[in-house]
Amino acid sequence: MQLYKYLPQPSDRMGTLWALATINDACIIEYGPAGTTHYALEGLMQFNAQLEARLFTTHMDENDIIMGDSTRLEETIREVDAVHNPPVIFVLASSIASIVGTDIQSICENLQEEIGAKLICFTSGGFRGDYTVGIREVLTALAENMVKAPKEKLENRYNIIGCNIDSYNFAADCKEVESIMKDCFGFELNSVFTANSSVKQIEDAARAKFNLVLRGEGSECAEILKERFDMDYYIGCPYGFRGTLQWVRNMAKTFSIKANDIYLYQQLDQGKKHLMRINHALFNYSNFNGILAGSYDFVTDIHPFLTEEIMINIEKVIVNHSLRGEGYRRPAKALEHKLAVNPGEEEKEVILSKVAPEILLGDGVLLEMGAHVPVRIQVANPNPRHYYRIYDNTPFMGFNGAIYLIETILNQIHANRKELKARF
Amino acid sequence: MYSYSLDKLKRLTEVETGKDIKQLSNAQFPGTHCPLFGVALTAGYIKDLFTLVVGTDECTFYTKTFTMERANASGSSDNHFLSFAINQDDVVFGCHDKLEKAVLHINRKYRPKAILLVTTCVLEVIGEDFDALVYSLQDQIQAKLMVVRAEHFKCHNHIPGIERTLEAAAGLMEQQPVQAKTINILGHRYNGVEDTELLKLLLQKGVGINLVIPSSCSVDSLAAAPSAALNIVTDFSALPLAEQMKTKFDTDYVYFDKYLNLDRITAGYKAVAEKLGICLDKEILQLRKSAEDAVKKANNILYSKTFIYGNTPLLAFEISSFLCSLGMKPVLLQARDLYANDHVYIKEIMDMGHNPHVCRIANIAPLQQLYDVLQPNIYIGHENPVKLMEKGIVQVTMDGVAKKLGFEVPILVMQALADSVCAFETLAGKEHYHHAAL
Repeated sequence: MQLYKYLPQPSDRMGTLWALATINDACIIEYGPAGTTHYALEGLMQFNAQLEARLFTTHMDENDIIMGDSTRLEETIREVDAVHNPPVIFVLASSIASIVGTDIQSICENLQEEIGAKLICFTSGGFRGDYTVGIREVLTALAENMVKAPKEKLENRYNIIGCNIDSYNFAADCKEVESIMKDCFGFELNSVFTANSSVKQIEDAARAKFNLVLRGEGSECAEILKERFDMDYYIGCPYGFRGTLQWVRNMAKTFSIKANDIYLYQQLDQGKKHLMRINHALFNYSNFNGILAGSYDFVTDIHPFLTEEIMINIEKVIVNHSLRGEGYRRPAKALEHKLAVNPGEEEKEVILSKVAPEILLGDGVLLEMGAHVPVRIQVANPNPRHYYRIYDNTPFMGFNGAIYLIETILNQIHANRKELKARF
Repeated sequence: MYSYSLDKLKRLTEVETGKDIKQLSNAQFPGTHCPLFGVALTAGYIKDLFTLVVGTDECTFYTKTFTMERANASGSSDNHFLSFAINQDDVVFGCHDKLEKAVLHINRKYRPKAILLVTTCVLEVIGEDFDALVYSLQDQIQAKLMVVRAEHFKCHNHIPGIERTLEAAAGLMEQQPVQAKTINILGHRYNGVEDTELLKLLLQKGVGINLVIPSSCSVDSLAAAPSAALNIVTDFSALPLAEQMKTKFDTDYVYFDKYLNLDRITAGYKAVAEKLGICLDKEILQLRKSAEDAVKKANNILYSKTFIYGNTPLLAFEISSFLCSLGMKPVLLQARDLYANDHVYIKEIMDMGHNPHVCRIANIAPLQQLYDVLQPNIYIGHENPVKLMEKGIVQVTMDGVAKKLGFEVPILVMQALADSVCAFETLAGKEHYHHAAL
């Protein structure tokens, strides 16, 4: 059933726009009714992100649809090129443009000669899959069409691929990765695909030594950059103390770089006491069980931290999107049997009822559905209550992320302890 | 550098239809909202009404996000907004059967009293027959089914969505015995209508409020809407509903929008009083006197000030006409479209010797290039306050006036304008900017 009481799955077109919206100096033109663009613009607010690109709509009327007249789009491209002189214009088809068969690819090809900006088009119109498909398409297109051959290579630089605004904690997590790379390896961030980035940064991405890929949707982007510029890459995210240590070790091995052992020792030592505190707190409750939900990479990488370090009995893990395309790593055995990939609303209600969790770590909609669950912590989008995440020193990733999550969970347990089942 | 030109626009004397209101540029930012947004703004007020939005993931996702956010802000529940997200197969093969199942499922699961089926752009392009859907289902279910079309390619903004949702409400009404000295307020989309000058006065005179549509009504109570002796239309978007009620139930109406012109407000009060058989002469005189005093005060400050009209909850040409009557000079007016009586207000502006450029709203970026050419003293509406300050332009927003009716509207508007101009002049040269907001 395609009927939803809460939110339907965001489409590929939405993902495309989310990934492009944060590229400074870029222009985006949507060929479709203006309301689509206006809605999308307001939709960015739930992500705690700013529109960095210049976004325009052409609007569209009956004549454009019936007569297939695309003059409006051509004139808008010419105008945006002349007014803003951008290095790149992304041209997006709306669902209507896609249905009536507007050949945006040909229009852009024909116009390219007279336009100063590079024209890159996305033609799906929202019918090719969920938002992850759109994000994948953007990351891939950027690697194919925008990254330039470097004039020089910078040895101590890396790029982050797949830090995008649809990740609930993208800004703080990006900052934490940056901090680990600096403190542990002495490496500096070169470019981010695509949160808070710019056309120039993406064009210069190939100057870096290697790529860190934070989501499976970035795998093709990384492969293309490897093929074009011989850049190695690593896919995975650092969550928890052990997980972050493992991530650092994998990084050192993959890129043949040396980690700062003193830094690592200090971080792990600090982590021990916090873990003891939460383990002790949870011991007071019988079967502190939970449900985890979010993107595939998030749940895959954070699951060991929650289950093996914090010792929460995560009984079910919900992936909030389909797993189309390459680059999604195989789940660990401990996780495999718990996974529910892209379940519908009714299925989620069944999961909530069967598991009867004490804690929910998930998106805002799941938290609404499980309003009766004692401990509810939002760790993923959608964010229907528009919770602010302005302060960017509250990561989920890395050593600091582990401490911050422990603190958050402890506070929530403390605040809701009367509703939890005591062991004694 | 490419520059935008006012030559693309028509002047007020040349504006005869909505099509004469041109855009300054092909590329629009942020662009207008669509009728679906108008539906979301309106339907959520009607208690117990279930709304099923049928559209792409995008249309349904953002509408639901908006209604959830709105419900959270007001502490209510938005669980009555449901979505049917179409896929590629539905575009090719249609989705009549699936929609039938969905409606039957809603009927079974929620036992709703009424369901508003909302179509969107794609459904209208592929020609999905919602009337047939209602025809085939209505006898099988107890919920009253209604259809609202919300495609954006046939209009320029969200207003048709509001109009059509209000019109659909008429489908829930039933003929009733008329209660003397009772009224419905049509088109008021805010809480607290009883706090407005108009309603305070009517309540003092023993007039009873039957319904406020949409902001205080339910599926059940709408049935009794025709029991009111008079409809007072306080927003032009409710005029089609008022016309329908006039035709179907012979309910008379008075159009009493958020006017600023003192004669129009006086005429509105008098029409209401006459139709309800009450006398308001003394009160009208008293209230009008306060407004006239405010005009005298404001005149000294606002006379000869130039302005750009942007976007407020008021009628674009009506407020502009009023400001011209204060001696202000319009240099550019932004409008959504042409609505009821706009030709009257336009003529008033022209008769006062003004002929400003007119452009469509919700496209601020190209306009910013023209501030040096237009050199307005005041910008009325939402814009980037810092950009306006840099150009020495006073900004006045008027969101708060949306909840007012009667002489309190012009009094509040003049106060905001005068206060902003004075404050701006005081602060000029200092390192902070000022903008007034009602």
